[in-house]
Amino acid sequence: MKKHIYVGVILLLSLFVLTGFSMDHIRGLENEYADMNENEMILALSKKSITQIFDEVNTISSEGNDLSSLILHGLTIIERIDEISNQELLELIKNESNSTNLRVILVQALQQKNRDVRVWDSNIEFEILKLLQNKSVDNEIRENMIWLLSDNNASNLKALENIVLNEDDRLAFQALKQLRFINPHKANLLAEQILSMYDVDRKQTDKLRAAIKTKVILLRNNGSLEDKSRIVELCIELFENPHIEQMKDTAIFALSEIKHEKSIVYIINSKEIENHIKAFCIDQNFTTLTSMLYDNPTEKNIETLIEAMNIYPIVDLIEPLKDKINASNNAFKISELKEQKGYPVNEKWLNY
Amino acid sequence: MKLKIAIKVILLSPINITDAATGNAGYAIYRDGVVGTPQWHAGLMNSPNSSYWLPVTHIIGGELVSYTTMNMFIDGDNFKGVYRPNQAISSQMRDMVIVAASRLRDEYIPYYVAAQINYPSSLYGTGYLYPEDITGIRCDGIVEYCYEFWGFRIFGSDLNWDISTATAGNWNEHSLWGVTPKTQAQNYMTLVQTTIP
Repeated sequence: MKKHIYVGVILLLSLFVLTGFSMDHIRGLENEYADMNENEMILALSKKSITQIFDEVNTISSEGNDLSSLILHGLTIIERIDEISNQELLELIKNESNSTNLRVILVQALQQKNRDVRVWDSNIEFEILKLLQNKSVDNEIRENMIWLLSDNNASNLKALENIVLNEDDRLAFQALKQLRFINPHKANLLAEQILSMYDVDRKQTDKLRAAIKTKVILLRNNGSLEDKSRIVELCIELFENPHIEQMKDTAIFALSEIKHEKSIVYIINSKEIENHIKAFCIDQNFTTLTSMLYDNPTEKNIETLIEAMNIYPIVDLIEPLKDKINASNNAFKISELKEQKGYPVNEKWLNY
Repeated sequence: MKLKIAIKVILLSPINITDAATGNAGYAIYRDGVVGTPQWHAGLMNSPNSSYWLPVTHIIGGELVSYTTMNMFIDGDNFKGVYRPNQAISSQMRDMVIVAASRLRDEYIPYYVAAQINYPSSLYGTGYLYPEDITGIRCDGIVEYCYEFWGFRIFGSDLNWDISTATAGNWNEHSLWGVTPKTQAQNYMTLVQTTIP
């Protein structure tokens, strides 16, 4: 019994000493950097060994500071990452005594060091996959590791598929996005699978949001009208009946980004969508609206275009719209087009 | 029950202005750093002032792009000011900047330290970068991307200033020591006010 008490006291004292040491170390760093400007701190960091900087990251992290408190340390490490081999980096990432912040910095460093590498050395890839699939590793680290899998090989695809279907929504979101980059066909199949699950269980999840986004991107410029319509209907349903906080935003943006006549008409006519969001969607759908004006200038479409231009006037649409209105010889019972200053369309939407 | 959920969902989206941005909506804000370091943290006002609910869009380590309160943004540090692009920006364009930030939030983008934004190098030369292409972002990356997507230059050379253009030169320029939240505000933007909006 006495022996246990002695051991307990020794452990407690050790904890106090270690905590005290860590606190002293943090206060020491505070004093060291307190009067420096950013350039002086960068210079001070550049004079330290990379392992000293690792220690500082671990020390600062031990007080609960997040990675955004460590930008200068992170940048210093990443700039000097060629001092460390890929294998050594992986050993440091695996080392659980390192803080999550340091391990995340090192994963990002590994990615940057090999930014143009598509195919890893097989040993390195094996280690990456092993770490990525290890559920005891912090999800923040695993989330970053997803972006190391840029090769479209069977084991990478399997690992990403497993994350999409069986893991936490946040990880699944990133994994589905990575699949969209490296194997759009696979991403499409998984997105369909998630949409089918929703048809059965009606559960609105972030995974469902990720699936909708995937479908929208894959359908936007290549999808059939029928496939697009199906997603538009789903997004309208989700917008009108959201069960999770983010679903309304996802549904509006998806409706806009799929660039479908029906969806932009829905957005423009919605009483629930604020005007500044409508303005963004109108600009984004410049080509959709142009096509409505030239290819299908029905009374309903002209009315929609007037409504759109009254919310966000785009210079390249206003004049042709006026011409169509004049040419109609009052055949349409339409609203009045306000006279106001127009904005040029953001050219980034033209090939979107 | 359904009604309760509906109310909650509506309230969780920041209430914003109806037509064009007023007050400080669409401007960038900054606070100073942590552990005595000179480093700053950036955010973007999505509402005219702090009295609105969740008026700031930002990202911190370990989190995703999110809306937050002014107190959470400042987090016990010192507020450093409200900044705007050097080029004059209309209320209508500030609205576009705010929606761009909401779009980033919708994308579930995690924190990235090595550059203002990250995306696969396979996108180099493919044209423009949209929120769905971004795989990681730093706090000053939100500010840089949302303004530059709409043509308001913040940091960068004549050739590579637009962070929403996917080229190797552009990515390199916006990575490592090219720019930090503090240099972004102090060297490449215009101070609007030093008080908390």
